[in-house]
Amino acid sequence: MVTGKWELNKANVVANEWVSRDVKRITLLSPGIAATASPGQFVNVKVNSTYAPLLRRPFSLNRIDKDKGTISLLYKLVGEGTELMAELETGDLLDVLGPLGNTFSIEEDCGDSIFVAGGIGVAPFYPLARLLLQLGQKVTCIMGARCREDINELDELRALGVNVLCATEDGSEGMRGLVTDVLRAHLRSTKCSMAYACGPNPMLAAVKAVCAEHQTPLQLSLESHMACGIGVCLGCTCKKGPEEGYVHVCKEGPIFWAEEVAL
Amino acid sequence: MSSKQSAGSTQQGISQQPPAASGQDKRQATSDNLLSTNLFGIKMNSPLMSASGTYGYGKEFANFYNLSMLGAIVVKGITMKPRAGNSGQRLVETPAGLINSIGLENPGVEGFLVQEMPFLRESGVPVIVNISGNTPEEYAALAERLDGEAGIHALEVNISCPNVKQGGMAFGASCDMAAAVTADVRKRTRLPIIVKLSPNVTDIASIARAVEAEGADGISLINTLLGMGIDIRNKKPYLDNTFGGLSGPAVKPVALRMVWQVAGAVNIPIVGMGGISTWQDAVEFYLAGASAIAIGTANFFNPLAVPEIIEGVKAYLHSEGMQHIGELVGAARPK
Repeated sequence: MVTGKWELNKANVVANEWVSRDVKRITLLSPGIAATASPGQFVNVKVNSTYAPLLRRPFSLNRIDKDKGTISLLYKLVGEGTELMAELETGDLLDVLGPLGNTFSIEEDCGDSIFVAGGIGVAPFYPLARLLLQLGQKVTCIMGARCREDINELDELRALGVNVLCATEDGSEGMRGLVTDVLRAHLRSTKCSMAYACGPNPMLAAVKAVCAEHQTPLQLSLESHMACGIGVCLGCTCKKGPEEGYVHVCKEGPIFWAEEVAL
Repeated sequence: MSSKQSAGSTQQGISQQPPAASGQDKRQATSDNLLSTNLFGIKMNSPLMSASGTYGYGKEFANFYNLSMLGAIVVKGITMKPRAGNSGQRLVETPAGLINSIGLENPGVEGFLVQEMPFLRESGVPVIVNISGNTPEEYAALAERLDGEAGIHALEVNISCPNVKQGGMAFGASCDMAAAVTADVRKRTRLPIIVKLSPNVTDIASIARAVEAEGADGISLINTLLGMGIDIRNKKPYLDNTFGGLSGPAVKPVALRMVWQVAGAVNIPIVGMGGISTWQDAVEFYLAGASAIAIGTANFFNPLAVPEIIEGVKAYLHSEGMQHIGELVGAARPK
């Protein structure tokens, strides 16, 4: 594995704003990380300097602004770590390690791309969309959530030029149903040369099945319990695809080809 | 003091250090020699190591600091054959702690020698290889295989892994088994052997005495404490193996107590570990009688734990007017 490129910063908090009812976006001044980071990578964050919580928390890069030297993380308040992070204010410092892991694979002369985002799984897609749109590709993003209030980044992605389709369980935004319903319909009508998905594992497994039916190559951004984020604790495993053994989400991932892993 | 040729006890090691040159500024004169130690016949830049399983094979941490500040790198546990490790969720975070169930995932001894040793040899840092087996014979065969391999300075015999079905902790749970493994390994290698003890026993001092009697050059402790967590949503244990090994700051008082007990029971050097996260923690372990210490779980949440602890210990020694870290070892013990 390549090393020698990780930064460990006490980064200044530039902003920490509500995006929806239980999701915030924190922006950090970290020119070193911003300079080398690519879409799909993550950072491992120590939310305070105490033992509560003890471990760092991994977050996908949601914005990479190389000009301003900032990175942003989109996070849902789900527990101790994220609740403490939500309390940080502009000017506070946050201990951040990154950029970690691999990046999405980009094919330059690729046709249309499709993203499938489940809930907070939308986080890594904004910087990927920017990159693909700059390459002149068409990007569609299917966003799934329980209801309208849980959809994030809808306007931001549309403003970039992404065709956003929504699926909500209660039908309050877009279609009533699951992302896979929308995906299946979309793949029937539109040829996509690459699919990217991020969200809960059951959703990823369902997306993998649909993409396989349509022979659409699929990249998955995986989540895992993680301690170090740099490949030494060996705690963040996912079962390998057909073969025996495990991949490590932090080191070989977090982006995997769908065939590489068994969900 | 040890009778073994390869085991330089700390006291021996310290006496070998040249005294600080007189007439020079004390801080200046002592800074080079303040931490350098001879332990198990290994010349170490400091009596501070990485704890097995928390440091990989070293190269990731070379991203953050010069590894040569370590006295030794104790590598992730090695077995004869490659192991994929345990299924399911492998980590559970607890208050000030971490339960792991990695299951000795490693590339096997041949994979280790080919893939990992070139970097470690290049680093120049002494390497201590943590070995595990399913049978005493497997430990002995591993010890024999590693004997004479360039760059390998000692073996840490892991008779305390809680996460494997066969062997592992079972060997560390009784005096007879611990003694048998130590004796078999001793016969098959000239390398210094440090036996890593499990805290999941009723009388750790007797196990320490048993391995000392069979020729161990040193003792490292503690491995992880057996623990578990239950997911209250799906009402099942988090770990497929139900139990895992608890480490981190939460276990430090237990580890310190056991280092204290073992230091009072044996004459061979002790490598103390268990939740050490700050220089103050490190100082406590030296004071309890550890000739060296190892940093484990702290490497996960603070990649700079090693250099920060080394700097803190140095500053402490200066502030206490001490010439060498050896003055600290066992200093809290009754005279």
